[in-house]
Amino acid sequence: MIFIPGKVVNIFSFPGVIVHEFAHMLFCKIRKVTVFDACYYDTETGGGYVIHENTENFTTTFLISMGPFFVNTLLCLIICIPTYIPIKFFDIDHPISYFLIWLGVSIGMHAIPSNQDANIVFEQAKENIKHFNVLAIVSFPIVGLIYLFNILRFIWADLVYGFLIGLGIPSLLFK
Amino acid sequence: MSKWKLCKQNHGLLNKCYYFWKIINKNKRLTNPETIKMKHIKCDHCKNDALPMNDSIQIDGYVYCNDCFEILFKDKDSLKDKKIIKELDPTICSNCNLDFNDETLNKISRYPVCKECETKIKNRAFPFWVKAFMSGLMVVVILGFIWNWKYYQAFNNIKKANEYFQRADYSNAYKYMNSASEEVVEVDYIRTMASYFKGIDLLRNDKSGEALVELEKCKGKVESDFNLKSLIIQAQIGICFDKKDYTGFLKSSNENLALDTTQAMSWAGVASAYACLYSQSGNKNLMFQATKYLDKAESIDSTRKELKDYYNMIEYRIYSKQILRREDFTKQFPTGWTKKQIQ
Repeated sequence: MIFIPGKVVNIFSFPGVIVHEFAHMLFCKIRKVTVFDACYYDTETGGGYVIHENTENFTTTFLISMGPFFVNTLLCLIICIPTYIPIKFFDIDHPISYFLIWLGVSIGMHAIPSNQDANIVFEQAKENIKHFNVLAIVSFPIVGLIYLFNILRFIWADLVYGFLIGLGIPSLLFK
Repeated sequence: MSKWKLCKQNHGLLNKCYYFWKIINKNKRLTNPETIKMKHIKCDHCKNDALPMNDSIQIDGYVYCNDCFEILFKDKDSLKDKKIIKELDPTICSNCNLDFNDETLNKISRYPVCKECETKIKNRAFPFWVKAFMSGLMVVVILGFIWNWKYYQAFNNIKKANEYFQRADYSNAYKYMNSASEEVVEVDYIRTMASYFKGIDLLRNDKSGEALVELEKCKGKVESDFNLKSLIIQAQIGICFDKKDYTGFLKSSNENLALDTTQAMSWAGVASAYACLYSQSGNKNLMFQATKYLDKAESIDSTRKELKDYYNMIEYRIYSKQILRREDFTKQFPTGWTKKQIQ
């Protein structure tokens, strides 16, 4: 197993970092949550952040935290889908196809929310489950999966996820 | 990752305060000292009573200035289980750091913000480069679909062609495979498949000469399970029959039988060739040979209608010494031939 620092991974998959922060910001805007500051890509750290006001609405917290999962996954899929058939069925090795796969997989790699995103959902879910909030109940296993996924990042779980979405789903769609 | 969340979860309120302190200092603007009327508070440690409220922090109910805080609480462990409150001066904008004298500012979350900054924060838009990047992604997605659309059409046409081929509708199978080959001209394999389907379709319609031309194009380009050799031989058989070259017909039929001796049709093919030669020459040996091969075919399969019709036509050929094409035979004997019809 080759260890590559997260910063290097982020440099090579920078479109995913930008889309990840864009997704946080997008859901802040949709849910009308004030954003104090946002950095979509920090060239020094290879990461980004969105600082927004705290909200007591669990649905809002859930959507802001999970935003990248929806946006990055969807974008990964729709970028990779067009390239799948020419490569898989017609053996057409066009550089544009490989560029699109890199772009799609890079974006897919950053779909899973960070542990910090999961933490805030977990903290609020603990409060909201007392009021039998269905989304809060559902969010517990999701948070568990996020923690597990983030542990498995050291064995390239993020890259595997990107490929599963970008190439695995098209392979199921086009048999 | 949201830094707000990072602060709250990992290091509690203190780090959150620090973070915003940092933002405030980053955006610090100079104000006229004479007009500054910020709120002041007394440090419980150094007793400085001119401490600006924004430069103070409350720990377990005691107020500390920046310097005292750094001396007394050097690491995070020293703050463990302590109640930390960051008091914010309600007359100073947390964003632009301007002092609004006695005016109490509106708050966003817990931060006092002036009207100008409130409008700016609430209307914070995506930076131009992010909009450009996301637009670029959308363009890439759209172009990706447009650029590769022909492959998807070809893929669908190939699927349809294969479905028709499975149903033995070779005409439609060729039609869709040909469309696919026109859509993806750069893929030689699809063109080969179109020729293959066309060859079979022509063979089915007794156009053996044209079928042979199409099937020859597939030589060396298809897998062995496509039975190309057998199809080419069948085309050659058809050509020989059309030219009344019954010796060639027999030779090709024997070649076909050698490829697969388990097929009733292959045995019947040889029987048909002997029947033609017998019709031409009247040589009884040829008739015996025809009957022998016909019996073998019937012993393999005597139930399939297509085969039964073929056997019937060979029997007619042997009995009448007349060589009819299959469609002429069907036209003349739509319900099949019996010996009575000749007598």
